[in-house]
Amino acid sequence: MINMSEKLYVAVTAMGLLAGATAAAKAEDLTIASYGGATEDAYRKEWYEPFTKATGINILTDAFTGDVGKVRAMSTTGTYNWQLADSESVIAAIGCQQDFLERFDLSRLKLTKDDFVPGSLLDCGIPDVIYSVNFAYDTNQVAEPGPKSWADFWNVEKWPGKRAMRKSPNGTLEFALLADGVPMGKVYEVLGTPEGVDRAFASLSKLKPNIVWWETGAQSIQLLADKEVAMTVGWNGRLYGAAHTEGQKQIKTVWNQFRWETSMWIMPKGAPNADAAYEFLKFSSQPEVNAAITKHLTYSPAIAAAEKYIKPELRSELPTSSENIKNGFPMDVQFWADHQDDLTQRFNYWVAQQ
Amino acid sequence: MSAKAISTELDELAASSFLRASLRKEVRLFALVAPLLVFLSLIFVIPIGWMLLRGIEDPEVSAALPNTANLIQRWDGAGLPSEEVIAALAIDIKHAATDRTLGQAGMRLNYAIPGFQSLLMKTAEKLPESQPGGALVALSEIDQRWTENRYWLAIRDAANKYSLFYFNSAFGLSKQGPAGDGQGFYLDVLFRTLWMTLVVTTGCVVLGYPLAYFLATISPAWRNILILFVLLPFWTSLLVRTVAWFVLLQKHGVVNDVGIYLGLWSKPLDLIYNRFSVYVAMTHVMLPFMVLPLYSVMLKIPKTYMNAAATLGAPPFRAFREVYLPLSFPGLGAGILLVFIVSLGFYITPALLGGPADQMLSYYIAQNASNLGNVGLAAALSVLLLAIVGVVIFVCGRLGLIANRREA
Repeated sequence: MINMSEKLYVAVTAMGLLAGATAAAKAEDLTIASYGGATEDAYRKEWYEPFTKATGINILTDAFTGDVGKVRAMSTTGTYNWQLADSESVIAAIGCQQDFLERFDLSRLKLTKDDFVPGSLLDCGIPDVIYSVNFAYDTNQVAEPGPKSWADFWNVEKWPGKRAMRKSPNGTLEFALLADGVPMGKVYEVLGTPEGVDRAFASLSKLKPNIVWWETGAQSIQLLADKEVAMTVGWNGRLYGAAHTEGQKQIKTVWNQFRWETSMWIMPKGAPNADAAYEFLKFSSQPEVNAAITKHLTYSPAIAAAEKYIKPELRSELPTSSENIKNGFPMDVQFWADHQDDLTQRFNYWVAQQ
Repeated sequence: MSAKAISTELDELAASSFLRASLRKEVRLFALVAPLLVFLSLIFVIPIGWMLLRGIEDPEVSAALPNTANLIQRWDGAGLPSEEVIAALAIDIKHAATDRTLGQAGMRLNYAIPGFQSLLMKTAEKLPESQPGGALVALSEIDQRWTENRYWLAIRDAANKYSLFYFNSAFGLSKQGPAGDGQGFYLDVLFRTLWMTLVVTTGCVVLGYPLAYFLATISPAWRNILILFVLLPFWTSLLVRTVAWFVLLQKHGVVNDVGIYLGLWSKPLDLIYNRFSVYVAMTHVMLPFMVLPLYSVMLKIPKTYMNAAATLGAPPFRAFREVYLPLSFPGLGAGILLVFIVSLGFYITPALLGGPADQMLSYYIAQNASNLGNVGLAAALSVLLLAIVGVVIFVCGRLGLIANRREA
C-alpha cells in the first residue's frame, strides 16, 4: 500500500521528467514533421541520423496530418511546432498562394529547377520523393487473373468483395472517371466541368454499396489484412511494405492507371532556425542520399540524378521508373488547390447519402 | 442627549457597521470566486466571443482589394460593373500580388466560386502594366471568366468587412458556390446530429432508469459493489471505451467470432461503421451521466411513500406513476439534460465507429477548421451547435426539468 506522500512524490517526479523531456528541445534543434509509419522510419535511418552525424544538428520529429488550417495557424499565430514537414503537393501550392509557406531560395541549396524530376518543383515545396496511389488486391480472396484496371475494380460481379477507398474526393473522383471510360490524359479536363463532376459521382455511386472508407494509410492495409475488403486503394510504398516486409504476401499491387504525385518539404513562413532547415534540405537533396530511401521504401527519388543509385530489381516497384510511368498519370496540383474545398463539400454530402 | 437620540445613533451605527460587514463579506466571497471568473472568461467567454466574431468576419477581400471593395458596392449587380470598378480591380490585383495579400482574397473568393483563387493568381501574373483597350479588355484577354457576371457578384458579396456569408453557407443559403447537390448539407447534418442525440438520450433513459432504481433500492452492501460497475466505466477514458467497442464489433472481432463459433450466424455481421455501432457505444459512454443523477435523487425518495400509496389502494404501476416517477423527475431532468448536451458535441465515437453517414456536426467543424482551413465556416457551425445547446437548456428550464427548480 502506497501512502499519500509517496504518491505525491511519484506524481511530482513524473511531472518533472515530462517537463525535462519537453525542455530538451534546444533552440538549434530542427523539428521535422511527417506522416509517420514506415516512411518516417526510413527517413530517420537514411536522412535524419546521417544528417545529425554530419552536421551535429539534432532532429526532433512530429506528426503531420495534412491539415491546411493547422499549418496556416502556425504562421499567422507565430507558434511553430516544426520547421519542415513532408507534405502533399496540394498544401505546398495552396500555402504559396495564401502566403503562409516559405518560398524557398534555391540558390541557398545550390540547386536549380533541372536538378529535380521535371515538373515536380514548386515555389514553396522542395520535392523529396514521388509516390503513387494504386489499387491492390488480396490474392486469397480474388481469383486470378485478377483485376487490371479501374473498370475491373468497379466490377463486383466478376470479382466480388468490398473495396476500400480513401474518404476524400482527391484521388477518388479521378478513378471513378477512369472506371467510366475516361482516358488518363483527359481526367482533369473532364473533372474541371460541372458535367464531369456529376459523371464522376454517378460512377462512384455505382460502387458505393461496396465501398469501405479509410482515413489513414495504416487503415488501408489493416482493412485488407483483416479481410474486411478484397481490394483497396493505397499508397504504393505502404502496399509494398505490407507485402514485402510485414509478411502480407497475398497483397498484390496493380501498376496500371495509377496516379503519381510528388511529396515535398514545406516550411511555414517565418519559422525559426530556417538555416538548419536549409542545411537539411541541402543534405537530403544530394542524389546519393536522396536515393538511399529506396532501400526501405518504394518511393521514387525526386532528385533526377538519384536514379542511377537505385537497385535495378526495385525499378518495377517505383512509380516513375520507365516501365511503370507510361501506365500512370500525374496528379494535377493546381486543379486540387482550386477544388479541394468545393469538391470536399460535395463529396461529404454525397458520401452521407444512403 | 436624550435617550431616544442615543438609541437612534446607536441604530445608525449598528446599521452602518452591518453594511460594512456585509460588504466585506461580499468582497471576500467575490475574492473567492474571482479566480474562477478569470478562468472562465479566459477559457470560455473570450474564445466563444472570438468564435462568434470569426463567423461574421469577412475581411480578406476588403483588405486585399480595398479600392474595388469600396467602389463595387455601388454597382447594382446587373451585367458587369462600370469600367471604373474594373480598372480599380486591375490596380488592386497588382498591389495585392506585390504585398502577397492576393492569396487571402483568393481563398475567400474560392469559397464562393471554385477556381477563383487560380483565376486571380493567373490574372496577377499576366496583367500588363498599360491597358490601352481598357481594364475589361485586358482582363478578358487573360481569361474569359472576367466577362461573367457571377465573378463580379462574388467580389461584391465579399466586399464588406462583416457578412453572413459563412452562416449562409452553413444553412445552405449562399447564392453562389457549388450549385445543386450539397447546398443544404449542413442542415442535414444538424438534423442528423439532433436525431442521433435524441436516440442516445432515449436509450440512456430506458436502460438507466431501471438500473438507477435497482441500485437505489437494493441493500447497501450490494449497492456499493454494483455502483462500482457504473463508476468504473465513468472513470475510464472515452477513447479507451470507444476503442474497446471497436475491438468487440469489428468484422473479425469478439462478437462476430463468438457468434460464428456458437453457430448463431454463419457470415460476419456488419456491426461496425454504421449507425448501430455509434448508438451502442454512445449509449454506453453516456449511461453513467444518466444513472448517477437519477440514483442520487432516488436514494432520497422515502420507501414509505410507495407503501403509503399501496395502503391507500394504488396498484404498483399507479403508485409508481403518480408518486415515484414525479419525485424522480429532478434526477431524470438532470440526466436527460446532461446526456443530451454532452452527446450533441460527440466527435471521436462516431468518427471511429461510424460510417460517413453517421458523423455528427463536430466532425465537420473539425474538418473545416483544421483540415480545410475554412475557419469562418467552422465558426459559423460552432455557433449553430452552441445555439442549439442554449435552446435545449431554455426549453428544459421552461419545462421545469432542471433539478433545482423542481426541488424548490
